Amino acid sequence: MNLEKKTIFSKQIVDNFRSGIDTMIQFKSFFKKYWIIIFFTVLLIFVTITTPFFWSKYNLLGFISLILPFLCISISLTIVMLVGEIDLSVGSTMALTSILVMVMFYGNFWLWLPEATARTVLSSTWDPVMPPLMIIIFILFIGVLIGCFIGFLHAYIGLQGFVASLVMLYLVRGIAMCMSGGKPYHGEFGAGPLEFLSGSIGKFPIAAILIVIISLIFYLFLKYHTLGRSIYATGGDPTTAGLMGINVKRIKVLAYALSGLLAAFAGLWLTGYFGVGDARSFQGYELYAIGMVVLGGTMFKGGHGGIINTLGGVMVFSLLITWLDLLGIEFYTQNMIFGFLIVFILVLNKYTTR
Amino acid sequence: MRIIFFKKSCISFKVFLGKFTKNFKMSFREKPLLFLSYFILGSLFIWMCGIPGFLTVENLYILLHRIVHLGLVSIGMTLVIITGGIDLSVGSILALTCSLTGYFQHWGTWYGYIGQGSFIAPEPVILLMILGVGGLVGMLNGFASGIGIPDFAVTLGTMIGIRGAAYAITGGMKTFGLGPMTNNIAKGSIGNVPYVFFVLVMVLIFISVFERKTAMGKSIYAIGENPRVAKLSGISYLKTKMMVYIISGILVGMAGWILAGRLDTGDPKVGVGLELDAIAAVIIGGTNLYGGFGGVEYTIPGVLIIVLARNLMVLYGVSSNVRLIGIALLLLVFLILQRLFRRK
Amino acid sequence: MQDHLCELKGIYKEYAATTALKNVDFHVDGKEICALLGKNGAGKSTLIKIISGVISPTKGEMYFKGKQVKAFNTKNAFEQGISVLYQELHLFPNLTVKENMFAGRLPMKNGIVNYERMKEEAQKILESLHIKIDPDTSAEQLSTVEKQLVSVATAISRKAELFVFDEPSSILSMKELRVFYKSIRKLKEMGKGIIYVTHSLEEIQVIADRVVVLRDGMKVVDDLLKNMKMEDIETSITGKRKKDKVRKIGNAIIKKGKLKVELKNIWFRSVLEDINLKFYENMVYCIYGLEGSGKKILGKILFGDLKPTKGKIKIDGKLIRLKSPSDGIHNGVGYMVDERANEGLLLNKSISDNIILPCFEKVKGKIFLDSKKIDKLVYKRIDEIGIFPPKASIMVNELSGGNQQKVLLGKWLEIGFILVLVDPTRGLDIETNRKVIDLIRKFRKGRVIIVIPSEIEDGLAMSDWIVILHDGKVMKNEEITAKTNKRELLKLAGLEF
Repeated sequence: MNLEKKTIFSKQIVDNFRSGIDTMIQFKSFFKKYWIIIFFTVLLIFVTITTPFFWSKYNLLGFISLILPFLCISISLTIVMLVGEIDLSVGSTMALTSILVMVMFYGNFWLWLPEATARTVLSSTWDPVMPPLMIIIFILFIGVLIGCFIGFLHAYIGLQGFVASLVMLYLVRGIAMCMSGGKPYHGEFGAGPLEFLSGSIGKFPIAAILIVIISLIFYLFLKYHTLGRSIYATGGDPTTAGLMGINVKRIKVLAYALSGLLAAFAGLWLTGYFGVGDARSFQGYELYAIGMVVLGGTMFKGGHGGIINTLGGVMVFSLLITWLDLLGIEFYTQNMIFGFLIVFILVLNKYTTR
Repeated sequence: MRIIFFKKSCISFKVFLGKFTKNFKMSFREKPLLFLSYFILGSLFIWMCGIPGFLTVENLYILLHRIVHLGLVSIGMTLVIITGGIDLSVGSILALTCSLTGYFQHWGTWYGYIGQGSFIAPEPVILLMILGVGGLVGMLNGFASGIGIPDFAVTLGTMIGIRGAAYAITGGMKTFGLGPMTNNIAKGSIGNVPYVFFVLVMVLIFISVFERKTAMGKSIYAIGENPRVAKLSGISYLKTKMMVYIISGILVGMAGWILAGRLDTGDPKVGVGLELDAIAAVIIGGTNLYGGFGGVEYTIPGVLIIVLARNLMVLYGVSSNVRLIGIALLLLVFLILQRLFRRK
Repeated sequence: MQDHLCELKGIYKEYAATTALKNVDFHVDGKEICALLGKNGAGKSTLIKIISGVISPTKGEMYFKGKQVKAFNTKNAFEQGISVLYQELHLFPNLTVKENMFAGRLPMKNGIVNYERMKEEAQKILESLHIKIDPDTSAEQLSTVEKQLVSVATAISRKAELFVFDEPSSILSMKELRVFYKSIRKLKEMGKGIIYVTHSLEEIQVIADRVVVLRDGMKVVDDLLKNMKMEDIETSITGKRKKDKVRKIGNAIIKKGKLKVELKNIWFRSVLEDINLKFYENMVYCIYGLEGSGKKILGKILFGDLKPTKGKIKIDGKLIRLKSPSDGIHNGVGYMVDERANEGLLLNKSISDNIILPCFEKVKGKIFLDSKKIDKLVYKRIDEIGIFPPKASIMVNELSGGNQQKVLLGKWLEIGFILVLVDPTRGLDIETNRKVIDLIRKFRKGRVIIVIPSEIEDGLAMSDWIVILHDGKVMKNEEITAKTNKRELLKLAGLEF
């Protein structure tokens, strides 16, 4: 009799143990999938406790306005990393577009020749070189051009992706510095028509609308468009992709072109928002983009990841940056924190996927 | 003891010289890229001789200093690139070590004049500390890339992080006035040749021998050529990566200390864009970006070309921004050439 | 006369050192499974490579569906409808099965990708081939046989006409093969042509309609299976009267030495189960098994490239924990792989650099490497092994394949008292094959040599002791004698129908 009881009892323990482990496994897989939301929520709580000012309308607007450009360059990096490459030129492209915006809206397009006459304060009336819409399209086109050039260097000449984009990082920034003589341009009326970018339609700030639109567009593109699927295929296995009829070279150029487009848009938007065009700005943004994308779960090897993942990374990082800003931490100290943080994230990433 | 050391250095020098001349003999037949870079160097030099202001003692003296500065950094970069990696953080390490040199010598007193009381330690020890800092950053870079993270990502992170640290520690401000020993070594010279030039030559010889005649040197090439084969032959990817990045870090630290001494200032704003010059020097010299091939003997003409090219642009009155574009374009051209001439 | 689906006439393929194919005529028709047999080096892979477009013939013509093939490249072959399934399959690991099957030709509706229809079509094709796989599974999660089947399904969906299977029995277990055969027979029903490359005579009895045998680059047999006798086929493969008994290429008889390595209760995940083996000096051991049997894993464990989930390794009586290849090398274990280009040699470095790579301590002076010691060591090896040309500074990629293999061997002979050689005679022509076997026999003195071959004949020819692995368990562990029965060993390895 005793023996029976013992067996039943031990069986119960084993069953409980097993269900405990099952729950743990369930929790673990749930955690793995949604950890970033959990992390974000926890962080949000921290932020609310330490800097309740975060929830002020002014700050929230700033927060959302920070997310938009970061989202753009993160999507840039996401797309390029999905094909298995990397784009280090996003920061420089943003800087170039920043200068172009000011120059083209405020005066002579050829302002930068000769350099010695570059003015720090432009004319008091804004004086666009072309119709504003054309300027926007032109600037976006420049972004695409830069991207195409990198893609061409990589796909058709055979340079490694990161090398090609690294060279452009310097080249493009050099061009931007030349155009501005190294000094920032302040527009007296902000960036003219682009001023509306910091406004709202009804209750929703334009930034938030753009965030939703851009995320949606690229999500749908990557999931439902042939080229988007080809991007995943190319990242998964370029040889097979070639066999299946996908033109791998063209896809890579496309990826870089889209990256350049988004970087140009990000620069455009930020300049319009702040009204300052500075060729020295946005240094290090490529690192932030990489950090956000890796945190979100897209990997260097290509084919893995996506927009949703990246969104998570962007949210967390933007929150962190805003929080550090509110805490009054200086720019370079923030750089220090983020530089090491990203290295830490990369190391952690390596150890968890071993 | 000293005799043995002397003998050994003579032997190493002979080895280096022998290898150097062998390279010359081989190079013109087998390695078109090396031939090209020496040819360009030669033509550049001849061209510049015709420019007023080039062949003056003052200009050449400054050039020697620049060669030392870029040379030290590029030697470290060469080793990193041979392993198939890249070090984007050299500029930031320079900033950190340069500013810390001033910082350690103004310990406790901020802008005050320095005296015995303001050194955190005696000057030679400070030098060692600075080299140590460089080595530590190198260790971080080496560790992260040694466990498998792509080099560009790691060093990009370090690049931003370390410069941030340099600013954070020093508050973004320069420290003026450094100690006598630092100034004397950094600024002093024998005749018209700076002391530090001899330092460069010694480092060059040392690393040159290290590359070819030590187990670690061979491992560096093996890892660059084929990491899997190297691993299966018992070579530790992690240890080798750490070694090259630590060496690079120490050399950049040396360059930072020398720079601080020469400018008599600890400045966290230096070194922006240094990585471009160093990478360009190494690539133009002929070391292959994919790894497994090249060496410091190749980097010599590369460094000289970059320094001369910059001097050329300065003599023609070209602005610093255009110089940036110029070097970037030069690098691009050589990258494309290297690709077209790639080894099968 | 009706055109064959695929026909090759008068094919020659010449390389610098050897002629891989000599005047081979070959054809395959629809609704037929043609087995292609032959030893390593007989020319099978070369023929397959020509058909799949990887290489082009030196002389001769190839016709597909009646038209001459002018351009030999994989894309062309793929588009024409030739589908070759090697061990490396063309799959996207990051996509699902249905996305794999329709990559590049995604079904669209109103300009966007139609996932439902993709799933339906994928389902249809999979079912028509009796393949039970959910189209929504990610390709990474498939087992080996499932991956093969998905590749077949993909090829079908692309309307491939000719299917070439390159030794599937070497990577699939018996159970998996049975599943595989069902799909292959379905292909035949559909009217496709199938070339099935294999070593196994047992297999062709089950699956083949026609048998083609290559030997030394020439076609020696081409007939319907029903017209042939097994012994005749065997003879034609090897070229001599095939006995079940084993002939050993041995020279001086050396006595078994001391116990060098002991494996106790070694487990590795679900692949290896409770392996207990003892290895003595002066002996060459052959560990043979099919691809899923765990033989390669065992080799990697001995070397330190993989850690066993459970179990102990003892070397010279001492308990050793091998955490990495350098631990293995430290303890005198060398591991020579079959992929010499990718995993064995540094092709752009000299013979000298390659040989000293695992053993820097031996050639060190006080700080630097002593070039005199290096030369002494390297030339000794070159001499003993017979590497040609015998100059230590030559780049390895300038040597012939056979000599590269010798350099690889030389590299490990230097530090290895326990040598694990994975398929050392792969891809070598007969002469080099014999030379390598001779070398292995010669160097067994003072060493434990473990050979893990892909063909049991090679293993038996060079070894003193045979270990058969099947599904991760040791099935046989005995000395090779005149009485050793090869067919019995193969049966134990799982090659039974």
